Amino acid sequence: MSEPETTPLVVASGLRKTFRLGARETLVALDDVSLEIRRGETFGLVGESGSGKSTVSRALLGLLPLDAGSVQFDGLEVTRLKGGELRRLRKRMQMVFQDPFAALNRRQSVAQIVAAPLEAHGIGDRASRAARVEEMLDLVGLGPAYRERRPREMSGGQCQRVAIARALALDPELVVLDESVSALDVSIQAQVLNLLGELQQRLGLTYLFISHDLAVVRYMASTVAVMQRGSIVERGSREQLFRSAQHEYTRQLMSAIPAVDPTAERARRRAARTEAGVSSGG
Amino acid sequence: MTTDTVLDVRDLRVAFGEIEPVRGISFRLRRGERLGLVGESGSGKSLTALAIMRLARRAQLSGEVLLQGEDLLTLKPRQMEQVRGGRVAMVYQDPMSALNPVYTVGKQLEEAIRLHRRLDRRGARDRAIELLDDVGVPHPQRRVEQYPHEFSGGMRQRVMIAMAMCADPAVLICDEPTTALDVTTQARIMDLLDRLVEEHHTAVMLITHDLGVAAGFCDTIQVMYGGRIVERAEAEALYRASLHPYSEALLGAAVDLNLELGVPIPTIGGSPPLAGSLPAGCSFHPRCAWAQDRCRSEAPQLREVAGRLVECHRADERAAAVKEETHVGA
Repeated sequence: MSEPETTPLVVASGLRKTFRLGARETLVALDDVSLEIRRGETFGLVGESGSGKSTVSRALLGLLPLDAGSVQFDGLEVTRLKGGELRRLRKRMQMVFQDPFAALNRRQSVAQIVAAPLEAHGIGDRASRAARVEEMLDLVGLGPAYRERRPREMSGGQCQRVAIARALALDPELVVLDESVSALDVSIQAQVLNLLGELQQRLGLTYLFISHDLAVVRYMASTVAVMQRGSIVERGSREQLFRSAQHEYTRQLMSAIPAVDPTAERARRRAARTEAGVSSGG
Repeated sequence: MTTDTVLDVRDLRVAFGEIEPVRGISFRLRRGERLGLVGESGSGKSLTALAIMRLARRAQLSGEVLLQGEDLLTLKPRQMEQVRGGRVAMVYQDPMSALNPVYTVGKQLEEAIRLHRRLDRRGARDRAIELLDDVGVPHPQRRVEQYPHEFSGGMRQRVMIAMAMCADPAVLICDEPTTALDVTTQARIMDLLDRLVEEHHTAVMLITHDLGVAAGFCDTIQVMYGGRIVERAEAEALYRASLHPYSEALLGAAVDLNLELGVPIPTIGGSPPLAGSLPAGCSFHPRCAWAQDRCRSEAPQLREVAGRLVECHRADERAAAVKEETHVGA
């Protein structure tokens, strides 16, 4: 236990990716991004749309050819793996996306959806896969009654539970949660966040939790990195970051989060306005 | 106070055949008031807005929607066209799909302006530039020549707000105006709405699922569930202590920077009901920790309890409990 405890599960260093937009223009999607994700922790990656959060996750999963940089997953260099090795590695890392309806095959039943990764990796026989599906559905709080349902017969929250069950079917070590609760209603978001916390404790999962919502990231993640225009501008433990954010952009993001309390929220907005008025001259 | 009322909705119902997603809601909106309509998807909040605008396609509407005394539900389509975008206007969640990609922003604004005011093209263009300037779009002279795709999400939403404000409406309905925007942009759009409402005394109905956004903007908040208003209270009072168990659950589940860490978020099981399959009695009872036999058989009615409106059989007990708690707390 002692050795793997100390080496991080994911070590990314110097990630660089540019996209050509035209003959002359290029977009620097990742600019020297480095991060470490420790085993069993939730690493929060926060930033506004277009900041490069999802590009980072694709790079970590080996889904994106990089211009430069290295990604090590449990000591294996992801950027150099090919074919069977990469496939075996991908079993150990799974994703849950924002829109569960788009991420699930409309024509399949819940049981087929959750069994799909097992079939793709040729794991078990029919009977053992069925048992695994049952186990997974139970794990995410969906009873056996859901086995034969199709995505359109379920709510967004239930679909997201199915997506989580599918991601966990292969017993992964890393789960990338890319805006996984952003499309859900408040009460359902809370249910799914609680479920994710519970599953992490029970299964010892490592999460990369990507969100534009700093408040949700604060609740979920013990380490937080803030991205802006392809770079990580600030990174630290939750305590550090939320107590004394160093970077101007982090502070901006934090001060833009509304408080669920009229008195506090009005005071916050007044303060933000005054500050904006001072810095921009009105 | 009655003379101040600009919008008076009475027993509004929206039905699609047998299914009735909005089941008899009544409320008033005063000049300059900021009313929040909060709830989860399927609660009927957006459909309420569309019904007021007479934009709910294929829906059967009943009840009354009195805009400055005139019932919009009885207007002919041609008459409604004059009202819509005139005395009542709406801002939507996704500005990109509300703008036409093949016309310049200026042309679209001019069109909206000339629908409601007798102006020639030059006059309309000048007014468009003025409106863009007013909603904080930099370099409006140049920007009117540009197409929607040349605007950022926040700037597009400013254009939508300019368009909505072009005829100085008495009522502005904003349906999730900042949901598609980044937080820093969201804050600026809410500031803009604040300023416009103050300057023009427009009555605003803000529809949102974001309880933080509602907290910062609204004077009064209505919580919707299963096509009904289940609680209506002043914002401060509602957030301090909500009397309907659903409002309480909704507020408890909201995540902000003050949420307690390391413990599960207080939440309720189940999911909001579908309009076609509402449970008998109180539509919230299957998810409610306070539910009793009566709640399972008899639908409660919205009534006044402790200075607010609540639709719950046990509202009095809850009000008493809240009162006791605050006394102990103080």
